[in-house]
Amino acid sequence: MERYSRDDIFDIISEISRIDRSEITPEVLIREELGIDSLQAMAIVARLEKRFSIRLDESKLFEVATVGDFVRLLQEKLG
Amino acid sequence: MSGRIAFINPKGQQTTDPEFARILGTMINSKSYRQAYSGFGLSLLILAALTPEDWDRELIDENYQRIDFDRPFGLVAVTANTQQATRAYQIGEEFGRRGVPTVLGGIHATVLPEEAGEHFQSVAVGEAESVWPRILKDWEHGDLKPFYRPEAPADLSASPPPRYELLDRERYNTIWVQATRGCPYDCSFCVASKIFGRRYQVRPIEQVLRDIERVKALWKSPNISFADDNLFVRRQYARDLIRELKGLNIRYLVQSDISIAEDDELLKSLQESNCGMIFIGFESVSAEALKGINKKRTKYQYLARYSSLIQKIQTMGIGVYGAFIIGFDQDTPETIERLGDFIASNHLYASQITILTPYPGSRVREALAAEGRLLARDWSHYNCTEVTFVPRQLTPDQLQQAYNRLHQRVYGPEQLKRSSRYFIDIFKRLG
Repeated sequence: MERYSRDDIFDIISEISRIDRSEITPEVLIREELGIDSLQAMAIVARLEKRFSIRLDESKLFEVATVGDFVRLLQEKLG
Repeated sequence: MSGRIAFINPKGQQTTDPEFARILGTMINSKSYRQAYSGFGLSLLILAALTPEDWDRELIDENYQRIDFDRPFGLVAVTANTQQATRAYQIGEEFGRRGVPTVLGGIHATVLPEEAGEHFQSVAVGEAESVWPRILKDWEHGDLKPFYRPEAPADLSASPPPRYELLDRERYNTIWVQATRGCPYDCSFCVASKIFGRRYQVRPIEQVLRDIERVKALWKSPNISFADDNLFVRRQYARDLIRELKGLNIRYLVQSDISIAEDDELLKSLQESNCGMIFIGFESVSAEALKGINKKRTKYQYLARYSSLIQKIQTMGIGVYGAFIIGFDQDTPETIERLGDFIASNHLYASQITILTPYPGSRVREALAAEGRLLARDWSHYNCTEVTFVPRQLTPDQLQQAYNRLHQRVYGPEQLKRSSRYFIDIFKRLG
């Protein structure tokens, strides 16, 4: 498992959603504000799993509301 | 002469069945499910655009706003599909009692104009572009007629850009854009062919792109949904349009039939232009039910390949939003169970399961009426989640129960978890 930084996660979210990196902040709502749909959220999880060689609990995906929740999802796994 | 005009979308209820309402409330993804239904239709935005600038326009969506019946409107225009008709009629009568001129248009008024005329001063039949200018002109002369029927089919290329700016940007994020109108397939349960004929019209691509640019200017991250019943009937037009979408940096949904999966070039183009989802009407996994849907048997001929074609689309990272109907004469508890198996085993990204609904103007309604199988229920029950006829091989209650159980299964946490893992693994393979 690799160490991660918040910037890594923000970069991935920006790339998948095609939203400018400057708009990605922890408190921003991924669906309502960034317009990220659940399929894109799955693509983000896939990228995180690949990048950090982990497997996330897919059922937690439905609890992700903000960009910060993605960070917490990874924190729970990587510590 | 001008005045204040209200464009009203009456309240619509997803269901009046308490058990189904409870199931919807417990779904993990109930929020996104609701949002998928929450976009604002284009018709009132087009009417607003067809209205001269000196009118004061108010857009009222009764799903979110209360109607002030005492507000001094010079004219009230209401649109309604069948499910909204009961409420639309109440609105028409309420304004009528206050002496406000009222007009009802939309699908329901088009197929049942005489009924609509009992509740509204005027009824607009057919496409708005064809009749709205005449209505406004007659209003100016205080001479509204009971019925307005198109003298000629509307020219889609002459349709003005919808007035998207009238929408509340905080409330709506699913925005509809239209590229084509009409459907040549004439399915037994659908009234699209009745409204538009089998004529299929396309808008000039530059007009569609202009609308999208307008939406992008108004919303930061809109989910754009193409309102077309089937965007891909004229394949070359669709190819040209999708190619142009590549540079726009949008996320969007299209509606098609399953034949799109055979077009590798187009699929690649959809993937490259960031299409998130293709809404496809599969209707049934029963061969016998599909045979009866339309004369050309367009759905039936693909049944054996449904699974492989779904897989082909979804492994490109594009979700298939499958539409299915239960309650056909051929449906039994076993076929409904089999549909649940099909949705699960094919890992459909999303499913829209509806109960066969005998809409006025449809061939299904004519057949059921001839056999005395229509239930006496008011239009508010025509919401595709409730039984409004006597099924052939089940009782109405059995069909409702089967529908509710199917929903619980398809949108249950286990199924959603499996489907999510399926897509996560696809995206890992795609890189």
